Parts: sequence; C-alpha cells; structure tokens
Amino acid sequence: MLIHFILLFLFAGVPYYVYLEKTKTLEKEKIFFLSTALLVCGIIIDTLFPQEVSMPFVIIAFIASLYSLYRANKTTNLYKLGYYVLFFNAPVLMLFGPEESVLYALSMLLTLFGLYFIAKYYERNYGSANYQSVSGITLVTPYAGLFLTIYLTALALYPPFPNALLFLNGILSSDTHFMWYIINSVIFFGNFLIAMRVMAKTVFGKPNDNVHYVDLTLKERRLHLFIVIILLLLSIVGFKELLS
Amino acid sequence: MSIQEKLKAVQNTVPHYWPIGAFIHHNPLKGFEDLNFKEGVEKAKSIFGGKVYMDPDYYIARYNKGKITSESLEKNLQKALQSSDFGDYAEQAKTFMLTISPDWNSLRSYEELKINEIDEDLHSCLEKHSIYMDKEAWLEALTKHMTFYEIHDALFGTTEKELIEKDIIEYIARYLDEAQTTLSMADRELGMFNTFKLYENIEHTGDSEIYVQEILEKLKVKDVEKYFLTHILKLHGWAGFIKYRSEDDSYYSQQEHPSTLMDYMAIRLHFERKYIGNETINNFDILHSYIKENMEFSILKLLQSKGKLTGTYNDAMEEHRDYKEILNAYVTDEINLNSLQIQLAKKRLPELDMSLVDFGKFTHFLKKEEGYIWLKSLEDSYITHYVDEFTSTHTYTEKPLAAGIFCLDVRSEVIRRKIEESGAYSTFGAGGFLGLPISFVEFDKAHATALAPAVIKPNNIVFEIPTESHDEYNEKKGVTKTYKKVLNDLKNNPYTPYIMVEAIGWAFGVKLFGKTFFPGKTQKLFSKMKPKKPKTTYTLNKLTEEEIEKYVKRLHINLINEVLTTQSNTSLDNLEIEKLWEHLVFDNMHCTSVPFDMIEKLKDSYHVTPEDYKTQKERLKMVGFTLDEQAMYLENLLKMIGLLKDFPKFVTIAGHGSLSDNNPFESALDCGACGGSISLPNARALCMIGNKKEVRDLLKTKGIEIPEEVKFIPSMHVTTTDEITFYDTDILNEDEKKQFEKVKKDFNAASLESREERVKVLPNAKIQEDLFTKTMDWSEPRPEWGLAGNMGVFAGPRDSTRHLNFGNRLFMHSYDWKVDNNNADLLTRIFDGPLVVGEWINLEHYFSTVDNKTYGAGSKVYHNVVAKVGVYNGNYSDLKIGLPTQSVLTEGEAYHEPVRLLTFMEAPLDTVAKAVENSIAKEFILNEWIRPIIIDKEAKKVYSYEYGEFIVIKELD
Amino acid sequence: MENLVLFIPFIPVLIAFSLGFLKQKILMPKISLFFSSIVAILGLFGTYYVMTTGEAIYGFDGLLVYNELSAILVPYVAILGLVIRKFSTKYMWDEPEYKRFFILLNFIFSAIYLLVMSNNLIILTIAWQLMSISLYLLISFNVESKSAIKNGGWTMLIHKLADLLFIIAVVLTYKTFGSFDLAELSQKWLEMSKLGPIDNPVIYVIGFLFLFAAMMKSAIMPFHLWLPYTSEAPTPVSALMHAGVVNVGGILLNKMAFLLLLTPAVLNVAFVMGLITAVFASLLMLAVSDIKRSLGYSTVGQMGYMIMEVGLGAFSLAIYHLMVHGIFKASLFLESGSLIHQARKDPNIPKRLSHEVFWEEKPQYNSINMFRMIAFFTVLPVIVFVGLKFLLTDGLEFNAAVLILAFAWLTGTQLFLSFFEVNKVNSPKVIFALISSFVLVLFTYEFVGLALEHFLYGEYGPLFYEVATLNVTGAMTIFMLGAIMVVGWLFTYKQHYVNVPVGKHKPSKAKWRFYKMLAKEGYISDMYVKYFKIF
Repeated sequence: MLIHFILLFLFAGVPYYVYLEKTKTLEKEKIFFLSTALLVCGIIIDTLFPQEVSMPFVIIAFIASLYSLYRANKTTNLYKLGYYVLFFNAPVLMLFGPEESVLYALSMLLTLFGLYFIAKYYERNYGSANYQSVSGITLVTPYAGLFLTIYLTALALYPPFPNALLFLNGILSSDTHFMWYIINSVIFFGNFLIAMRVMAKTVFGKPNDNVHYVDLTLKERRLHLFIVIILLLLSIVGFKELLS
Repeated sequence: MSIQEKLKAVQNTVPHYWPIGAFIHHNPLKGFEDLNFKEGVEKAKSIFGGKVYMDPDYYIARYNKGKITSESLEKNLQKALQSSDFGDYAEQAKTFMLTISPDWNSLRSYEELKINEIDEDLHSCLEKHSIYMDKEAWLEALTKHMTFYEIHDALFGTTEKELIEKDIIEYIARYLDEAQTTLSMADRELGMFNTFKLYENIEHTGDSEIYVQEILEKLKVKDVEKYFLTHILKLHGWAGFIKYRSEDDSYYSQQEHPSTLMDYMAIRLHFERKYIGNETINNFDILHSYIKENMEFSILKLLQSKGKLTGTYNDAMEEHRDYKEILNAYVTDEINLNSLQIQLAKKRLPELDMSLVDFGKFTHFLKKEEGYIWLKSLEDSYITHYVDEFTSTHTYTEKPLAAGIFCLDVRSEVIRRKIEESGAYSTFGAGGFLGLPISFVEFDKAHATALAPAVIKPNNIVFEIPTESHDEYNEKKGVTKTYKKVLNDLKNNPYTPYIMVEAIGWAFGVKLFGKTFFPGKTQKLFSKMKPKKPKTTYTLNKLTEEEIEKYVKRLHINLINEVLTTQSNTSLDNLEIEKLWEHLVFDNMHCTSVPFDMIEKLKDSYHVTPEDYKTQKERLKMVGFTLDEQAMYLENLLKMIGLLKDFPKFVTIAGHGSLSDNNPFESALDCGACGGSISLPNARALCMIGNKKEVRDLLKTKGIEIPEEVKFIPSMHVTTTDEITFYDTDILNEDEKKQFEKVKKDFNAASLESREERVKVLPNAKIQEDLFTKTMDWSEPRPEWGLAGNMGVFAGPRDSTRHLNFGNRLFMHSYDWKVDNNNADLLTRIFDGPLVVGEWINLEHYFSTVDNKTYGAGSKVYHNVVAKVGVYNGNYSDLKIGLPTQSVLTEGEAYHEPVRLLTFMEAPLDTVAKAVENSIAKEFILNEWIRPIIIDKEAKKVYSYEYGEFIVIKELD
Repeated sequence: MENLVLFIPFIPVLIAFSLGFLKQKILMPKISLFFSSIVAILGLFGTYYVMTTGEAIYGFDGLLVYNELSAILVPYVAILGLVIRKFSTKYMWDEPEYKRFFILLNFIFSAIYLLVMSNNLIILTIAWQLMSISLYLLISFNVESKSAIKNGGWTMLIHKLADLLFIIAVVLTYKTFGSFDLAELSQKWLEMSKLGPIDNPVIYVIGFLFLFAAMMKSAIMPFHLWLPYTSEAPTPVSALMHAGVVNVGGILLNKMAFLLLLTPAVLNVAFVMGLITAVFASLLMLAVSDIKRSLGYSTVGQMGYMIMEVGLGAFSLAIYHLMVHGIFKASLFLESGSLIHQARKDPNIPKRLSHEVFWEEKPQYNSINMFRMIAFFTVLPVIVFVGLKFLLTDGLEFNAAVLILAFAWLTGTQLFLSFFEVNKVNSPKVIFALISSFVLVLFTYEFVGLALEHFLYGEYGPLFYEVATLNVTGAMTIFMLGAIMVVGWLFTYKQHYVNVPVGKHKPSKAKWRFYKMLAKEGYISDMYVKYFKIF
C-alpha cells in the first residue's frame, strides 16, 4: 500500500502540482531534472518490488495525467512541456509490466533529454525556452528543425522511433480490461496531441521577422546525433521485443 | 459623404485584377501613381506591408560585382544627404550602407545586451521619440488595418477570422464562377448581393448600400472610410477582381452575373456581424471600453499575435504575471535594444565624430533612404553605361533583302540581333498590336478577343473566315468534341464516374506515363487527333448594308433551324422559317405549326428578338475597316518605325505567342501589347492591308511610295523556342518564292542561334532541343523566362543599338523623330500604347520580385485554379495577383533585376516634352515611376528626368 | 534469387539516406529515379515469378510476403512512384528544401511497400503508422502557410485515430486468435468460416475496428475531410495522395478479407457507408469551385464506391478499382493547371456571330427524335447488363452485387445521352461503332475483373459474395436498386433535357437550402474548424 503511494507520488506529478508550481522556488529547468529523478526512482522501486497496482491508484494517476495533458496543451515552454509529458505518461508506466515500463520510460527519457537540449538551445538564442514566436525553424535553422522533428515524432508515438514500438510492446504484453483500453487510448492520443501542437507551432510556420535565428552549433549537432543514434538502437531493441 | 462615395474614395488602393486567362501585367500600385514613386511606395508599404526595395545584401552584391558603380552610389548618397543635416558625412554613410546595414537586425541581440552598458542620453532620447510612451497611439498603430474580428481573435484567442474568411471566399468564388462547377449557383442574374440574400436566407429588402450602412451602425464603426479600406485589404486579390469586372461592361460574366464592390463589402460585413454577434464584445464601443480598462493586457496580446513578443514575455504571459510589469519590461528592453543597436553600430565607425544621439538620427535617416538610394544608383549605373554605348556611332549601309518588324517585347531582342547577323536584314520594333487595335473572332470561336493594350478599346471587329471547304475539320472536330463531352458528362455526374473509371480509367495511364517520360512522342500522338485549321482570311473591309442584312438574317435563320430540328423535331421549309423569323424579329403576324413554347424558347433562351437583330447589326457594322482607315493604320505604323523609303523586297511582320503545357499563367507569356493574347492576327491583318493595291495607291498620294514588288509577309514568333513560321506566303509568285526561301533559311538559322543563347539562362535545359520539350512538358513550371529581366526601353533608330547585346532585357521601339510632326504625335502614340504596357510589365515584375508574398502569386507548386478566373493557394485563400515565383526568381534568388523602366528616347527635348504633355502616361512619367532619358543628338546633350526636372547628364562631342 | 524482391521496401529508405548526404541538387532526382526503376524491375520480376510458379515468396522469418496481392500492387505503386518522381524533378526544382522533399517521398513509398508486402500484423502496424507521419510531413511541405499546417493537422488527427483503432484491433486479434502471422490467421479464418455463423462478439468488434481504420485512411465520410482539404500540398504530393495513400484502406480490407468472411455485418456497414459516401461526395464535387478540392471530393466518392464494392463482397474488384482510379486521378491532378488553357480556348460564351455567318454553305442539322432515342438507349443498356448478369452469375442468386449493375446502367444511359446531344448524327454506322466499342469495353472490364478475382482469391471468390448479401429481403434490394436508378436517371435527364425556366421566376427556397448544404460541404468542415482548434 505504502509503495503505491510512493509510486503515485514519484510518477504522477503530484509534488509539482502540490508544491512546486505554487511556490516557484525552483527554475523550470530544475523541475525537469527533479521530475526525471523521481521517475527513475519510481521505476527502480517498481522493479525492485514488483506487484499489481490497484485500480484506484491508477485512476488517481490518470486524473492527474489528464490534468497534465490540459496543462501541456496550454504551455508554450519547452521545459514545462518536458515534465508535463512525464506526468502525462505516468499511468501507463504503472499499467505496464516492469520490464516494459523500464524500456518505455527509458526511450521517453531519452527523447525528453533531446528535447531538453533543444530547450536549452532555445533559451540561449531566443531568451527563453518558450517557442511561441519562434516559428518556422525548419526553414531557417534546418538542423534544429530536423532534430526537433525527430524528438516530437518520437514523442507522438510514431515508428520507427522506440517510443511507439515500446508502447506497443507494453500494450501487447499487459492484461486488458476496460480501464486499460481507456487509459491507453487517451495516452496514445494525448502524446500525439502534445507533440503535434509543438510541431505545428515552432517546427512549421512562417519564420518570424522579429526573431534573429541561429542554428545549432557543431557540438550540439553531434550531441543530438548521438541521442538520435541511441534512440534508433533502442528502436531495434523495441522491434526485437515486439516480435518475440 | 455617402457610403458609396466613401467606398469610392478608398477603392483605388487595390489595382484591377484581370482574369488569369487574359493575364495583363499591371502596376500593383496603380492607385498610388498620383504620388511620386518614392512617396507612393512608402505609402503602399504602410498599407500593404511588404517590401518595396530589395534587401541591402542584394544591392551590395551588385555593387561588389561592379554593376552599381561607386560614382553613382556616391552621387545619389550625396544628393540624399544634402536634404538632411548630415551633408558632411558621405564617407561614413557609405561605409554604413555597405558594411553595417546588412547586419543591422543582428545588432539587436539579447546576449550583447547583457554585456553592454546602455548610453543614458541615447536611451532617454529614444524613449522620448518612441511610440511606447503614448499607449493610446501605440494601440492605434497596432490595430491599424485590423478588422473587428481580427482584434477580437488577438485579444481573446478566438478563431473567427478563419471562419469568416472561409465563408466569404466560399460564397464569392461560387458566385464569380465561370462554369468551372457543374452544379452552379442559381439565380445569379439577380446580382451578387441579392443572390447572397438567398444564400444566407436574409430577410432584407434594401440594396447592398443600405445593408452595409445598417451593419456599420450595428458595429458602431467610427471611421467608415478607413474601415472599408481595412476590409478591402483583407483579400485584395478578390477585391481587385470584383473591382475590375464591375468597371468593365463588356466582360461577359459581369453582364450575366453582375457584382459590385459594395456588394462585396456587404457580404464581408454580413459575415463579420454574423460571427461577432454571438460574442459578448460585439461592437467597437464595447471593444474600446474593454481595451481602455485592460490597456496593458490588450497591447501585450496584440504584440503577441504579431509575433513581437519573445520568449521571456511569453513565459510571463503564460503565468499571468502582472501585465503592467511585463509591458514595462518589454518597453525597457525594446528601447535598450534599439540603443544597443545604435551603440554597436557606432563602435564599427570608430573615427566618426558624432554624438550617439546624432548618430541615432543619422542611422535612422540612412535606413529610411537606403532602398531608394540603392535603386537609383543601380539605375544610374545602367544609364551611364548605355548612354555611352547609344551615342557611339555605328553605321550600317548594306541594302537589306528583307526587313522584319517585331514586337518591341524584350524577347524579340535576341532573335532580331541574330537575324541581323545572319545576312542582309534589317529589323524594326513596334508595339505587338502594331497600332492596329482589333477585336478578333477566331475561326470556329464564338468570342471576340481584344487584341490591343488594355487601355485601348478596339472599335473594329475582324473575323477569321475559312477560304476553303473545311468538312474534314468539322468532322474531326465533331469527334473530339463528342469524346470530350461524353467524358465530361460521365465525370460530372454523381453516379457515373465509378463505372467509367473502371471501364476506361487505365487508358489515362498512356497519358500519365507518356506525358511524363516521353512528352514529345505523346504530344505527337495527341496532336494527330486534333483537327487541322483550314486556310483562312480576315474580314478587313467594311460590309455593305445589304451584306449586314443578309448576315443577320442568316445568323438567326441558322439558329432557328438548329433549334427546331434538334429540339422539337419540327422541320420547316426555308420559306416558313423565314416567315417565322420575320415574326420573331419584326413582329409580323404569322401562323405556324411551331408550338408556342418553342417560339418562346427561341425568344428567351436564344434571343431571336428585335433587340438582338439591332445589336447584331450594330456589331456587323463594326466589322472591318474603311479604305482610309486601312491606309491610315499602315501609314501610322510605317511612320512610327521610320520605314518610309528604300523598302526591302520582303517586309515580314511578326506576331508572337508562347507555348506551354499545364500552365495557368500561360497568357502572361503571350503578347503583352495584345492583352495577353497571341499577336499573330494583328500581323496578318496589317500585312493583308499592306499588300492591297488600293491602299498603296492611297499612300502614294500621302508621299509614301511602296513599290509593287515589295511584299508584306506575316509570321509568328514562338517565344519559347524562337521559331518563326511564315503565313500567307501563297501571295508570292514562283520567283519570289525562291528568293524567299533564302530568307526562311536565314531566319531558321537565327532561331537556332537564339535558342543556343536562351538555353544558357534557363534551368533544366542543356541543349537547344530542351526548349522544345519545355513547350509540352506538363511538369515544367518555367517554360521560358518570359519578360523577366526587362530593364528598359529604347525608342529611336535601330542603328544606335544594333551593335549591342542586351540579353533580352530591352524593349526596342523603332522611332525616327525626323518623321514626327511638330506636335510629336508619333511619340505620343508610343507613349500611350507601348510605354504604358511597358511600365505595367516592368512594375509588375519589379514588385513581384521585391516581395513576391505581397505583390506576387507565390509558387506555382501550390496553385489551385478557382472558378476559372484565377488561382489561389489551398482550399480558400486570396486570389493570387501578380507573377508566380517561377517567373521572376530562380531557386529563391531574384532572376529579374528590379529597376524602374529606363526609357531611352532618341529625340530632341522639345519633342519629348510635347509628347509627355499630350500623353495619358504623363502622370507616371512625371512622378518618376519610369526613368526617362533623352538622347538629343541635335543639341548634343543627354538629359535625364529626375527630382522633377530635366538635367543634363552628358554632353556629346 | 526471388528473395531479392523482398528487399523492395528497404530500397527507398536507402535512397532517402543517401540523399541526405548528397550535395549536388541535380543528382537527387537522378538517384531517386534510378533506384526506383530498380524497385519497379524487381517488382515486375516478382510478379512474373508469382504468376508463373503460382506460389508466394516469403522471407524475413515470414514477416514479409510477395503474394498475389503484392504482385499486382507493388508494380503499380512502383510505376506510380516513377511518374511522381520524374514529375517532381522539374516541377519542384525551385522550391527550397528540394532535398527534404525527395527524402520524404522515398519514406512514404517505403511505408506503402512495407504495408503491401507485410505478412505480420506488427509489421503492418508499423507500416500503417509510418505512412501517417510521412504523409503529414509531406502535406505540410509548404511550412510557411498557416492553412497548410492546419489542414495537415486535421489529416494527422484522423490518421492517428485510424492508427489507434488499428492498434486496438491488432491487440484484440492477438488476444483472440493468438497469432500475428497473416497467412496463418487467414487460414484459420477460412476454416472458421466453413463452420458456420460466429457468435463471438469480439470478432465483430475486430472487424469493425479494421473497417473503421480503413475508412479513415480511405477518406470515407464523415472522416473524409482531410483529403479534399489538403490541396495546399505540392501538386505531385496530391497526385500521390489520391493515387496511392487513400488506397491503403482497400488494401487493408483485402488483406483482412478472410476475417470479414466471418462478419457479414461489417460488410453491410461498409456497403452502406460506401454508398452514401459515393453519392454525397460526388454531389459535393460538382458544387466545389476550385479544381483541386473538386478532385478531392471526386476521390472521396471513388473511395466510397470502392468500399461499397468491398461491402458487396467484390474484394478483387475493389483492388482493380483503386488501381485504375489511381491512374485516372493522378493524371487529372498533374494536369490540373491546364484548366485555364481550356478556359481560354473555350470561354463559356454562347455562339452568336462567328465564321459560320460568312460561310455560304448552309450548315446541316439532322433531326433526331429525342424521346424515342432516350427510350431506346436506356432500355438497351438494361438488356445488355441484365444479359451479362445472367451470363456471368448463372442467373441464379439475386444478391446485393446487382447494385453495381445499377451504376453501370446509369453510366451507359448517360454515355448515350451525351453522345447524342453533341453528335447530332443519325448515321447507323456511328451508332453501331459506338455500341460495339461500348460492348467491347464492357467485356474487357468484366473479363479483367473476373481474372483478377481468380488470381487473387482463386476458388474462394464466390464465398465473399455469399457472405456479403445484405440480410434483407430481395424486395428491399429491388427497392434500393429502383431508387438509385430513378434518382440517377432523373438527374441525368434534368441535366440534359430540361432547360432552366426562362423569364421571371421565383427562386425556390428548398433548392437554395439544398445548395447551401452543398456549398457548406454538409457542414462538416465548419465543425472541424470550430471544434478542433488544436492546430
């Protein structure tokens, strides 16, 4: 029972909504790290003490997750988006079996780190990780556009990226019941909505004359390329998992 | 002022937009020609947004290549500085323009802001002059040219604009549709607004003006005139098209389905009111009081919607922090950035001795003026270069065997040069309609095409009629027509396309595969099925009274006959039909076996009525020319080009047209002087006139003696491939034919040479054969460069330009001022026709190049033909005006070099001054929308018209 | 050797990657075209192999298959791919991001090949989703345009929904039948169908999920909006979309054909929705004033018809339909710009004074007895079709497939009417030529249809027709048949022989209401604009 509470706490963004959001003591960037750390803890606890998660907890997590979806569709800040995505995906991590949830969490974290570095790049060049007026990057800063497209496609659960494959893997290997269908459908669709909204607004769109665009530096490009390669390696893992 | 007058006052802001089938190049800023060019474009910029000059980078690249000379740049810079307080800083100004200006925006960097200290004097000065301090004014500026629904969307995040604009376009596109749809809108003859009432189910008895008035009151619009302008600007392509058709009575669709700009306004306002009506804030009074209460929030929201708020402020907005604070931060940062920009720029000019505040003003001045300075310097550099060339003496004495008269079109330049190089030939240039405006009805066509510049309304109709039996043509035509009709009917029916597709869909594979991979062979295959036109001639003489009577009767009787036999299965003999006709047209009593409804049908649907009898007679009276007219037109042309004696044996007059496939803009490539049509008919007509003995006799009395052996031969110049085909050569006798063979051979050789030259500048073409592919390739968005690259006009004898290669950039009109009379009638005529067309073409290209998004049509790749009147993007957007990117840009870079039309005239100053005074082009000439240069070889001076006066730019020895 | 064929889906990916490193613009289309030709050749080779040996090529542990269906579709897609790439070479030349365009093009082709050749539900799922994303990136190619992005967003939304339904269907299939292997599953389904009616509701749910996923991707109403509203994609992409992408619904249903044997209700729903879509979309097509959207609705209608054919059990005919329609529609799309050329040549102005007036010979008009003609030529096709029907189906069972014949009859009638409206000749020679070519076309069509059915489904072909029979009385079928025929005939008749009343007349309110509904495209697009504001 206690473990359930801990998991809920660690997974579902509760600390954020209860405390961090109101007090503004932490920077958004730090909240992102904190959330990922909590997630990792959660996963570890989950694998160390594997057990059936009871329905009420999942439902509470699901409600928190819906709230995150709502918030994620309101924000235009990439850092915030990062941890909202985490909170949003929490219920499926509870539903999936331990191995599946580790893999899915891993691919999600990796993608979110990619997104985080893009956010950092935004912050450096455009003053903040807010993408509201930074539109049309695929035309003016093709590298940033390419990598952001990849991360968002992955987040939106499209193959050939591992998120989609591992998500599918998770679905296929867990037991089904009515709530399961609803939650999975919502999460499947929600991830897509969150990612595509960003895609439409910053990757695409007309380049803004009021913004001075700068593309990724060589070092950053290497970093992102590295992340993408790992993602693709994970894809292979995911593919193997799926077929087995 | 009444509502109607208020609309009139602003409607000229948008230019006419002709339907795309007759693409007429025009100045997109026509409504601003009453202002000086520089002021006009500035004003247009404040209204349309968009650029009016190229970016500094573009000009700097030209400067570095030497296309802009440093003398001309310095001269123009000096001239500009003289009008300000910075007359002594020419050197620094030049440095600024060349090195700092291109990076100007990058100097506003947040990162630099962190490490630089802002100068206080400068800051306070900028603060004082900024609009930010007066929030009311700032708000005013932000909401300028925003409709109510746009402001509403910006403030409250609604999406009314999309719904409203979509509804508007859906309606007007359907109303203005020219038979693109099968299920067309009904009752359109009632007029645009009355039909709209049916469409939207509006119970309203008044006309559009009253309706507009009512809605404006409901919306509580204060400045009606301004609001009209705002609305017109939202979709100015559509507005321009409606304006065009409402002002052209002869436009068939307008006669059938009338529309006015007021109707359009009523429709716009109706939808605005319809969607806004549901909101709590639904008129300007409430809106203004809301804005007053939430001033900071409103400003921030408006800034955000325009993309002016950057990251941090957006974050703050998202967190709903204190709006006042955010706005203050924004203002401070903006002013800091502006100061920083000036400070960093100043750093780059270390030796400049000027206070920062003054330097701020200095940069402000230069940023405002640099576009014009660059443009004028570019033009001046060309002018200096060409004036030198035009005044160097070259004489050509060889007696030519043949003379070619070509359209002054820039594309004739190469072929003329090559023809002259290929043998003893001389060439002349004249407006493509040859001064002979005709309303032309082609063989087997029902509609008349006006072959004259859009400013001239032709008064003479010319029919193309067959001279030989054309049964074979009819037969083949019948087959293709049936095939097309059957296919079309099967396609345009809710039930039949499916089985049709299954039965014959695979046959389209031949086309799909063939046209893509073997365009030449497929073209050949399809052209075999096309009927071949019989030999034809033109109706050039006036008809007699009896003939007119005869033809009208024949028209009606044929019609009655057709209707009766095909529709009611009553066949009458000729006598009875005649009686029936008399009954219909003259109201004679007549008893007949024809059923009553058939007679009604003949009256109502086929218009066999007394009125029609009259109108058709009127039209037939307009057919052809009197002998005097014929002689006059020929005389005019010969005088205009200065060919009055020493006629060569053959005078070929070339019309021109273009060939392309799958190209909605094809008419933009045809003859501009003929309203976007092929100018062959004018050439043929004039040649037929020229070969008449009576005409020559008459001309002899006027002192122009054309020897009998001289023959006028019409020809057609295909501009895509530079091929020349001769027509009506059967008037030549055997001997002449032999001689003419040589001409043909040389012209062919010249065509080949021209193609070789043309191929070098076209993408996706390597050898000259590729040009032929381009005429039939459906995947080719750029069959030829068309008029792109046009830079100037030369009016004067060919000898002054013959030694030069202009690379298709010059309109060349032959003109000999010695032939002109004291009143400069000839030059006036050149101004009124060709120059007007030239200016329209030039400025269409200019603005489509500098800002294709605002004044051009965007890329062809996304175009969607709508209502057969134009193209738009996607499913509903503004009608695209101007030229597509493929016509003026190459891979995103400007191919056309935007300069005003450099109009070189070889004539005495007085002659030109008189012509300007008499011409309809006076306004734009004096307002410097073109650059007149007068080469006065008599007075040995060259003048240029700038800053409102003629100044001498060169003295000749 | 024949296993090489199975590499087809990976060749486009390789092209895409190699394009990524290419600097020279001119080489991009060349490389694309060269390797695509290899794909086409491989495809043709595979088809030859399958046809001669009569057995499918399996590979990659049975994940991919080159069977009869692939043998038909892969060469078709490959050749279409060649045309589109060649067309884009010049057409897209001036666009920024030329490279991105070709890369994306190759990705989507890879997805289509994978989809066609997959023999495993997992692979199918992946291909299914890959197609969605590459389609999105292609139709939003004009990134600067707000409306292109927004319409791309709607497309995505519908396709994602299709993905979701598909995945759920796959999960359920796995849970119910315990396998992902399509060949194995098909065998199982076929055996089950022999055992008689199924009462497991889950199988019906699976059937419906697959059907709806297919309908979403095939733009069946009310999920059609993404197709007509993506006119802002570059023209070659539109051509690809209308000739290739929308067809995947039909392809999926053919892959699942044996499953649908178990679920007649699914087929019936497909039939009804397909029929409604076919009629309504083509009405909209007639009322839309821009060419690309009009073609879009035309495709929606054609897809409706295709799904209807599936609903009638004519699975192979659906495949035939989607291929010929693809060819037809791609050519119409690619030449959509020439509309202005035609309009210039023939502006819609009635003929008054023309050269004919000056021509001394009197024009000849032949009288035709219209009513006799109409009667004669509407009866004739009926006789032909009924005769054919009896000939081909032994004249025994009377099932819903007869509806296809109703469409055919209308087409025939329209054909004759149009023919005699223009061609005012009575010459028996011409009439004979027309009728004989008509019959010829008909027989080839029927022959191809039958041959295809035999090739794809062999002996099992007739099974589908039996299952697809609507569970209603013959009277109901006759009634529907009659309704379609009468309404269609009225439309044709009105279009051709009733002139608009002349003189003063009162506008009809009812007509306007109907027109408004058409102009608003059934109010569906407004709903999308209003309620899906995410993009």
